[in-house]
Amino acid sequence: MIVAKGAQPGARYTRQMRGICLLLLSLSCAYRPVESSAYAVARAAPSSAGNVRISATRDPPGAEELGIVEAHGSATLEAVISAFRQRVAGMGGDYGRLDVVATKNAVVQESRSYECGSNQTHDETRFVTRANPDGTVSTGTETVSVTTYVSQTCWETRDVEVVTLSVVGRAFRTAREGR
Amino acid sequence: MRTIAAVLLLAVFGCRHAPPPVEAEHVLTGVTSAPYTGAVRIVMNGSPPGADYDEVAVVSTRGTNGNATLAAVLGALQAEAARLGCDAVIQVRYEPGGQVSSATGVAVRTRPAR
Repeated sequence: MIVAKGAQPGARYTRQMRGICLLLLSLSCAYRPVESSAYAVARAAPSSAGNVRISATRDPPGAEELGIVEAHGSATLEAVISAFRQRVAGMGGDYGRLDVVATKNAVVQESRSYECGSNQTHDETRFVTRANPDGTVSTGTETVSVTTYVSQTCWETRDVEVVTLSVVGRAFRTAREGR
Repeated sequence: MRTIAAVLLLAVFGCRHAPPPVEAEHVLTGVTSAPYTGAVRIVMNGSPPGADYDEVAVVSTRGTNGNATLAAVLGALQAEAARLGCDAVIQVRYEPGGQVSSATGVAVRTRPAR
């Protein structure tokens, strides 16, 4: 049996590239974006460029309520609250009041690809030139078994429990800004 | 090429398969103080805090697989609050799950009684 060594580097390169693609796919699954939205309950105000203070327990005294804000995602608390802050600032607020901070589990199907190639053997006919003992040269054919690695991508799907973190609250403009 | 792939594999799957026992994080909304060494109260969402307090941070914990339990997740919530100098976590919500359980709350420092 002859192993076609010449085919190996190409197959290895293909496997490595697929491995990198798999890594990128895993990373994209791990870091899902945070989504947010807002609903204004007061007249539109220009965006606030200043710092947005956050509280999960107290409404700001004497402040104007601008709207309802929510942010959610399968992400860190920091990322979700950061999106909440941006929404508050986008409404012209400088104070975000968190009314609800909660997590929720959901089972989602996650697909993953992996390399599942295998060595495959087939017969090859080759022309062979032989030097005979009497000094003459004869040409013929011979059949040899050649094994090559045949790359293949397989997919598997499994159920994964994903945690979505969500915050819901209100945007306020306190007296210290824009008045 | 093989080395780069190995490093990337280790970075991604190594981290994912060996997570800390329970992940804990916080976002500061107030001022921290020296770590609190006493017992941290857990006050579930909807229950009154029971005393005046100063808000310090929003806290969140997440336990996976063997640590997806009420005890592990709430214990981590208490530990995270204690690290921030808090003696209570209020507005606590717990979300149970098979592979992952999580909790959120607000870490506070009770004001001394006058």
